[in-house]
Amino acid sequence: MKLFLHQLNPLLILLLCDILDRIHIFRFLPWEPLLTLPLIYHWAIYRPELLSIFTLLILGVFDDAIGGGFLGQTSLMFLMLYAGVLLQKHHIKDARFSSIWKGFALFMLTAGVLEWVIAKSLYKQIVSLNIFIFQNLLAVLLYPWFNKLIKTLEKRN
Amino acid sequence: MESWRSRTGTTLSNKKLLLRRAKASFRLYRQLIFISFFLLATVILVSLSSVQSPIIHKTRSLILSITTPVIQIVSMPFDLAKGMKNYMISWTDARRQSLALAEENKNLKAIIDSMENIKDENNELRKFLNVRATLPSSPITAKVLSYPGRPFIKSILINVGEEEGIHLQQVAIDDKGLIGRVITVGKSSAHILLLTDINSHVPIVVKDTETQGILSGSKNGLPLLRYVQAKLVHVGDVVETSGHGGIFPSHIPVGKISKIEGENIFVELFSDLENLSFVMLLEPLGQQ
Repeated sequence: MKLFLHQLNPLLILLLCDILDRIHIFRFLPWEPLLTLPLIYHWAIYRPELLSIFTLLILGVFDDAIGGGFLGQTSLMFLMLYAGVLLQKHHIKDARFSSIWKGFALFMLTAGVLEWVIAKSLYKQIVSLNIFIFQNLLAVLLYPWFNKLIKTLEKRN
Repeated sequence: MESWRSRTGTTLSNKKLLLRRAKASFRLYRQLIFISFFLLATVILVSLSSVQSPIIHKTRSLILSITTPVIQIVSMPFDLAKGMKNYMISWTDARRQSLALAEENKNLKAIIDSMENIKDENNELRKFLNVRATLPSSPITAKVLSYPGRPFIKSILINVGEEEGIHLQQVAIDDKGLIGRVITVGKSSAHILLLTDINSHVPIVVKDTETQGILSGSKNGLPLLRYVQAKLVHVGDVVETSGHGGIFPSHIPVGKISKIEGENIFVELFSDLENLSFVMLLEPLGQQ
């Protein structure tokens, strides 16, 4: 029960971040950084007990329901990314911040490519890959501040 | 017995270290197996979603009915900030707008006078030919809750659904022109497929030349005019709905031709689809 409540917290935070992504709070920027992916990356490495597979499934389905896409397509992407981070976690976890940042850049690049592949397969349309890459680029550039913010909030809790 | 210091500084025997590593590997492989099962489940979910399964539709409606009020609450402070910003801009711009409005008012009065005769003639002709009106008497206004988040899905979420009388294929417009049409409906929310989505296809007519064609969303952002020869149209020509196809009523402004590159004719929409606040929903042509 305690673990369930413990895991409900990150799910609610991720759902809230997804809503914030949808209402375009960063519309004044040329590309809007996604808030959910940096959180998933951070928790997958440092606090895996907070991020269950079921959380990612629910988050993905929620994102697709609001966004109008096929239910499950975003969950597919999240789960594949999560598996990738788990496999590399032991290399990244105690590394210096620059290595973690590089890992995050690779993570976001993979997310962009995966999204493009899923879109191409499901919608049978060729969409420019650049759009997916640039959308995630800003999140990569802002990652150091984001990482600091998360760690500060976690320390306070 | 050989021993090693672990990360925490305690001394571990060889066997204990191997056991710890084995447990960590076992946990990792167990998680990967679970992920594989969930991946299979999501593939099944995506397959059901792509064939428009009723269960998926109900699931989506349920999620939307729960989350729509939450989205409205979360977006309130941002809407308030946007409103204040627009108010400040309009306040500082008041004098210029006042002069522009006075000039426009003068021009409109002259147009109204000339339009009265045309209106009477139009009504007489409609009566004579038994032509039905193409616009409904009571369109529904809706607030936009969320915007396109993915590059390949251009749809928005609005705060009206089945309870307010919204149904599939209803046409959405704003004060400037056509926006798109309703593609999914929940109890109190609905999705509108925008004209910029690659799955959007609207029968249109180029106003000045009466050239008919199809306006389709493209990957580049600007919709494309299809089945129209480039030599028949010009940059600046106004595009509006033709009324063919049974969904979009005729004579709804859509946009104007912004550039012609070879046989590719791009249309700049009148509406700003990235900054919509409110939309109006009309009945599809077949249900008027």
